[in-house]
Amino acid sequence: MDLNGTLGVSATALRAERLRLDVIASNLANANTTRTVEGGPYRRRNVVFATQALENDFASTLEAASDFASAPLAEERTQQGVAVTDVIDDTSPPRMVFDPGHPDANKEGYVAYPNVNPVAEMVDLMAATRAYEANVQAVNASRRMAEAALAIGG
Amino acid sequence: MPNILFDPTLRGLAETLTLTQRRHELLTSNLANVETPGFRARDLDFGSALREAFAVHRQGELGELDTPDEPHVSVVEDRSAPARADGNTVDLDLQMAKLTANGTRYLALARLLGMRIGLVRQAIDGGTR
Repeated sequence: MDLNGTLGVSATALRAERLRLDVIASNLANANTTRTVEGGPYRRRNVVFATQALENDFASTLEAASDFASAPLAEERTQQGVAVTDVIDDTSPPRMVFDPGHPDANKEGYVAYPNVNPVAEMVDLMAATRAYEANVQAVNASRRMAEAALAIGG
Repeated sequence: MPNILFDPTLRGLAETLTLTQRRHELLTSNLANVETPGFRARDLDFGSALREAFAVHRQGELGELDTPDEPHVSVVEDRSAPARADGNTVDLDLQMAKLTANGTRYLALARLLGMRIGLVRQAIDGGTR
């Protein structure tokens, strides 16, 4: 493993956090959407994160392509990235608002609005932003280290 | 006669640099999984890993055989922060502090290693440059 692999791990995290930001933005944008293609109000969506071993790196590709089994390549993997494995719908009930004049109101005069809580979404947004920034810092740290390593003999 | 090019200082610096990089890999993985449910933060047992690395070299010197094997990395679970409700034990602030400290140590070690190599180069040149 090397610093390139470390950059790969940080990159998976940046991608996952950005997808999370996309989903949060979609939730906030559709906080009042009462009509969707599937019918009914928009449903809040949530991402599922899971660890992901970095399989597609140079070392494992070389290992797969060559016949010799070398010990350092087969060592325990210390690097674990992250991936969004699924985007699931929040199954909590919709927010019912009394508004008889609304075209989507039911017989009792209630309109089913999405189960999106803007406050909770904003909190998630901040958490995702901070996690993204932390991984950008990790990328910068890796870059500085690689530069320092390259300058050793110079 | 002691080996001037690859003396214990140079080896020690190189090993420590390698282990610092390993620790950086672990800390980066922790940061990547800061929002992954059930993820347990990991760290490197630096002291024992370094001891092991030096033991391998000492053995190599006694047996007149250099062992190029990579030292066994002692990865341990980082128990310095409590688990959150989702079972994740990555503390963002703590991990950032560790990442920064470890990265700075790496830069210092790389500088030291460069200086050590510079000394050897000066000896080879005879100080004529």
